[in-house]
Amino acid sequence: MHTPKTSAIHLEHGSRPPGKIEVLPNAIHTITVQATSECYGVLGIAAPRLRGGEAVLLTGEQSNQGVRVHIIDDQLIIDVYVVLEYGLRISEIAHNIMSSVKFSIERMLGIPVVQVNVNVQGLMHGPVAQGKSEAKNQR
Amino acid sequence: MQEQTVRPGRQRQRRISVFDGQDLKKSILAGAAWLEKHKEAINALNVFPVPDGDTGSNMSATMQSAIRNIAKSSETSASDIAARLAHDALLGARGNSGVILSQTLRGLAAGLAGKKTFTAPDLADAMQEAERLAYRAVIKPVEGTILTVVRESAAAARHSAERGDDLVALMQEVVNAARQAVARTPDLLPTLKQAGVVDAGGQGFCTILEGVWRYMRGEAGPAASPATQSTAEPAARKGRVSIEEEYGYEVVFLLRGSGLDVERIRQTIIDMGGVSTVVAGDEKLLKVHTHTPTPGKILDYGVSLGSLLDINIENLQEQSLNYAAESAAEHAAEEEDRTESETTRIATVAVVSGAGFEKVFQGLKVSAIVPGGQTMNPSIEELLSAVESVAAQQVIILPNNGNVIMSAEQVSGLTQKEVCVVPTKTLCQGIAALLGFNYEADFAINCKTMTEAARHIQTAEITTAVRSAQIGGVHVREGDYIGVINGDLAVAGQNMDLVIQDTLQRMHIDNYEIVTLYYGQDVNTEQAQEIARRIKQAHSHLEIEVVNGGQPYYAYIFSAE
Repeated sequence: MHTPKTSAIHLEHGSRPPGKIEVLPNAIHTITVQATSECYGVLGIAAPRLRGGEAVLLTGEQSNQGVRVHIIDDQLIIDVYVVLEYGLRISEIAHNIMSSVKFSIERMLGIPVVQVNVNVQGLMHGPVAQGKSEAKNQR
Repeated sequence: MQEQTVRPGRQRQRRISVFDGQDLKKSILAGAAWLEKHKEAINALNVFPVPDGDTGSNMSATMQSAIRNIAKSSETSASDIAARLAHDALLGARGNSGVILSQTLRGLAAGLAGKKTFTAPDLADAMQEAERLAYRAVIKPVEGTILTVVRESAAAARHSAERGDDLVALMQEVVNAARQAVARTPDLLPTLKQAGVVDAGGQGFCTILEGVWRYMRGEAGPAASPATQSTAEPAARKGRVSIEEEYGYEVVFLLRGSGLDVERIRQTIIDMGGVSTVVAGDEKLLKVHTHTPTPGKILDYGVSLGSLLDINIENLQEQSLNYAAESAAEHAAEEEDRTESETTRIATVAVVSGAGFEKVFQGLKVSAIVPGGQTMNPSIEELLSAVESVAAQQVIILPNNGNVIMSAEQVSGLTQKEVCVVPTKTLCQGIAALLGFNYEADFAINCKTMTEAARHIQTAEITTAVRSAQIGGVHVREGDYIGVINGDLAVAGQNMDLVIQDTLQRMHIDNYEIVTLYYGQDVNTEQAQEIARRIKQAHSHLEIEVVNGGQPYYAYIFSAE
């Protein structure tokens, strides 16, 4: 995997001792995964690469692989890969993810986020889409 | 909204056991109207120290989109109305809560699929389906949100239906449960408790249910469809109503008898002059709904067949005349606005709040102003109608608020005109952009220069926090003065002078030359002059201009260039 540099934020808080805080991209991954997963319509974080033409859902620790962070001039560009629920307005969910990720990162880390790119890797039906087939939809 | 709590022992005037498509339509219209009426209060619940317009407006916009095609429909099948509703909600969903709302309506439609009419148990099943779908589309359901309210109202509906309640009683139970669920949201979600509010999305959902319930109780008419402005044909713009032939009296009653023939009764009523006639039920109990100029004849006919219950007669002519008069007046005012800008080739549309700022923008020859900003984001429809109202074919939009930019960008896909959004986040950036506008230059160049002009402006806004909260590293108490730089909270404190000094310092005021100070509606000229004098003392090289902005919420807005 690519290893982006650590980014630094300079706190401009007058009354505190001067110093530097470094944030590892891993923290940014975690915040992004958390913020994205809480968005309505998101069924999971997906791997950037498809397997056999289908989206690969990531779970637990792996989820961080569904997020890519680029740091340019102490500003963040974030790519996130997701699978969404079928039958909802995709553009709106994507917008919700963008603002939620931007808001969470800027609030928690104070680093400006200039872009959040949402990649919809696939859509899934919940288990009982048409009122039949209770079987679990596993991809 | 949170008016009187419902007294369970209260006797009810109405019992409704069957609903058809038209009844469903009217109750949903009532729910949408009730939400529209309370959207500002719901916006005020957002968790941020400055009221930040979204949840209420987003949900209301979603509802308005949902009802735009059913409002005039005379479809009598509940299933068809619900399907239409779900489809249009999906297309118009806005924001997180709007997407959830569209999903619950989709569940409702799935639950009512194939049902021309529905009863209390049917509605309970449909709400169950709505809950199931709502939870299906999220991997981490957060409790203490709209989802909790959806779940608990569905559970209440099930219990009520199992007890054998009718639709009115069921809805009453549902509303009670929804209100309790909303009240509990701060216990479930710490951020809400920290900010001292209930969940805005949950409150919005509860408000829709309340509107429906009010309609079922007969307290509210279906409220002369509030959002006809979204209809496609230009003649029907802004809720213009033409008096149609079908208006007369609306007659609704239940007919109890034996061996009733639904088909024959329906045909007889139509022959007697009934329009939009619905007759539904079985041979023992029927519901009759019709529009007629002569309600007496219909009732006489009903009495000849059996006994009448729950008779309800409303004068539609009167309602529609009132509404037509109102919308005509509104329309005339709008006509006036648009004559001014007939000659311009490229038009500009700006979102502005505050009387002083409006004057400034008018002075800069903006073609149209859409009122709005913090706490009241204009809808895509409002922006679209402003764009359509100007004479020019090329339109530049100045959103002047970070929350409006996205809606403004949607407009270009909805109109034939060429639209460019200059992404201004504050009123000051909007002014800078407008100053960069050149009537001689062509559209593309103007878009570029205006965006460029806006970028060079720094904006700081001073206001008071409406509630205590902790945002990032900044701890804010209710009533504190806060400084917001280019849309981000930067400074909080109890001394306004210190907050202003600190804020200006943070925006590196010494790198700029000209500062314009716009003072708000709650501040007088002397106070503003005094502030300007003190800034001049501290930063002697600055040129400071004081302007009456008249903006709400923000005591002072500084722009630096």
